[in-house]
Amino acid sequence: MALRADRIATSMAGAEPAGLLSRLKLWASHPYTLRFVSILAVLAGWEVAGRIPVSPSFPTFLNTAAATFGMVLDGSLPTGLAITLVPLLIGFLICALLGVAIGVAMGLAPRIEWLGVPLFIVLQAAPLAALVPLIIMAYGIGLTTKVLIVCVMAMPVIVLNSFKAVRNAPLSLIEMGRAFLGNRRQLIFQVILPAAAPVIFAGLRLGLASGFVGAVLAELLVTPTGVGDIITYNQSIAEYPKMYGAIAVVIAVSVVFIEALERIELRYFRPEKRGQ
Amino acid sequence: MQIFGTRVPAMASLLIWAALWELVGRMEVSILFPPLTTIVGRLGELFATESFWNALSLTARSYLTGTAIAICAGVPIGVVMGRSQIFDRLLLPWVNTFTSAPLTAIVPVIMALFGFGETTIVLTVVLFAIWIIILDARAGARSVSTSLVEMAAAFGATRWQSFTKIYLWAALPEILTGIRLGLIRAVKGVIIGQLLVSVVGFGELFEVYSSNFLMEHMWALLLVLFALAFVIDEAMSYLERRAEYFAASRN
Amino acid sequence: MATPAPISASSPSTSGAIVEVRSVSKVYPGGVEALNGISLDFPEGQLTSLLGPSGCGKTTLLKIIAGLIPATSGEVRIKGRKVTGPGPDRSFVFQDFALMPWATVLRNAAFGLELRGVPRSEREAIAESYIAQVGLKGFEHKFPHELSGGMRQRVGLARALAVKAEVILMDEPFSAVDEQTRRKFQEDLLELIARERKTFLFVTHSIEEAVYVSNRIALLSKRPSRVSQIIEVDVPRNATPDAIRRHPAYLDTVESIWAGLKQYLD
Repeated sequence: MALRADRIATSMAGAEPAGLLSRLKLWASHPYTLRFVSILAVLAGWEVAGRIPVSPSFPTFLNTAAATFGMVLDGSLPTGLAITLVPLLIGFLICALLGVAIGVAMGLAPRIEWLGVPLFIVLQAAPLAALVPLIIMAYGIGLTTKVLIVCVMAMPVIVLNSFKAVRNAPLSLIEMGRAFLGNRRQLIFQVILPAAAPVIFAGLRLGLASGFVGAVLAELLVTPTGVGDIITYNQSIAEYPKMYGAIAVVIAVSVVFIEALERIELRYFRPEKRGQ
Repeated sequence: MQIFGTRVPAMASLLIWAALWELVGRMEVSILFPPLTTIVGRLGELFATESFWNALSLTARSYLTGTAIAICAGVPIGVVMGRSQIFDRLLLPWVNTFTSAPLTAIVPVIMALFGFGETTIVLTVVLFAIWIIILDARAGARSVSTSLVEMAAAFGATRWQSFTKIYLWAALPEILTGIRLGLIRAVKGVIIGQLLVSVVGFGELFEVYSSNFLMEHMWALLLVLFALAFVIDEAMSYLERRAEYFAASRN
Repeated sequence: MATPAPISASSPSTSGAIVEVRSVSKVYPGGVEALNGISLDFPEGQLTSLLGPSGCGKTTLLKIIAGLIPATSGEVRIKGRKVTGPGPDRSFVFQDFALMPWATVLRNAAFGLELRGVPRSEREAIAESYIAQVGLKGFEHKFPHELSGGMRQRVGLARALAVKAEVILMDEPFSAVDEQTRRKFQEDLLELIARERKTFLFVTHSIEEAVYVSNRIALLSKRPSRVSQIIEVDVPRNATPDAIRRHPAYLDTVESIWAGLKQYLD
């Protein structure tokens, strides 16, 4: 509501006679302009801070970008990323299937809810990263450990969101389904799950984000491989541009992955949002 | 949940999980799960060591400092973003990115810049907590009802007055949600920070326990941490519920 | 009797007009034309209603007078001074009450004074007297969610009176209140007007309500709104509420307005 007033105010400024100032205002009110300005400002700030330099371990943006290109060209960064992404994707797939199933089951059956919800509430609040040393102690430093870490980090939020999504499915829709004699199976698959899809997907995105945290943590703590190795190795030899570049790339990749998940959701599961 | 007509308390199922854990532990299914009773037995040992209390106090100190910074900076930034389109467009891409980014990867940067001490832990806490606080304060400021804003304007409120007397209060439910989520993320941050900076606080204990394969001690420590996190979460949920009628009275 | 006057849109400012609206137009972005060159005078000490079909821009006009939204063209003058924004000479009663849920009745009623920096004890004394006047004595320390809709709007009214503005703008104040409460409210409002001697501008879409509470009614046409008629309501104000509602002048006025408005319905 209040937003509308803002929008009215800005578009009114645009409707004024076309002077230079109002043109500037119109240009500035375009959504992409300020985003672009903002990214440019941060990168420029980075460059300046690196040139001062604020710290001997703070490289300039241009050096970092150059180092990143170097790592992309010599193949070390793509290889590292691929190694990092394998446990992440395996773990996330397991969590997505198992977690949504558990969450939906808890949402549908009060007994399962009673049994499961308290456990996952405790787990969601808990700093599960602390389990990492334990998992390493139990399973060594292989792929199993990394997949487990990703699962531990991603599971609770996926389960709890799926549970909440099913529990909060609109009652009027469920009653509608029952009034038109839908059976339980039809109700679940044709009414409840579609109604719950947005929140389930929100949980999957949060789960993917936590999975990334877990995957990177695993690589920084377990004998380094993948991007974690690039980060820790370059930190240890004070090759800061490479270290910063690898970190920026990991963050960028996580943003791209979460965005991709959102695209998949819109493309295949949210017909009402298509074409918007 | 009811069994044979009697209501069973919601959290009672945790006892079943505990029993299951004990059983799995006794059957030696996995070295990951020692029996729960032996872990609880280690708690006394843990509480008797001075290093545990030192680590706890350091953790508490950096946690409180970090979350205080995150709240004091995050709430105003979020409210301003919710009210000003320009600030919103400038900052939102970054806030969105960092809310879901693997912040673990940034901790090495903080370590490189600020060394292996308490400052790094505090900054890690801020880094983990602040984004969701900003995002929720922003959502709260955007949901403030137009008529309250107009009311303040009609009675001649200055910008500062509408900020402190209307927006901050009307956005309170979302702000509290953001603070609760921020506090939970901060717990994760303080632990991840100490895992990576393995020479201070619990990080040191983790290091000692895992290099000596003291699985039971490690679990005892984890139980304490999980319990503390749960208490923080519940306390914040309680505060949030108390503020809920604000939201209910909005249209 | 009701005296349906011809369109007095361009009548020059007469003595006693405290609010003057001069050819005000409002076009919302996206091209929705809410008001089209409205000119209107509001005489001091009277209650003038803006009456019209829903969505006709009555509220827009009231908010322009309040200074809450800018007019696209034209101007509003209060006692000859041009309106550029909200001012201490006007106060506003909101359709949805606009009470702060986190503040007590007392603080809500005193809020206008609080914003002006009136010391606490002073503003609370003033607010208390107005809370008593609107019939909420004893509820000072309740919170809005503990009150009924009608009582909440009484708080809104107390808040508007407490700032001692000369013009009180009321935006469909009783529309979110149930029918019985509304009737009682209308009766109390008449008493209040008699006591306060202020200028009231009252937006409503209820013909009966407009005729019952107003001295004058400005009929607005469908969007883009113009003033289609000014009606002087000539109903005895000293009679009992029941007598007024049964008075021939009241019934005739209601009927003639309805006859005039019917043509705007599809």
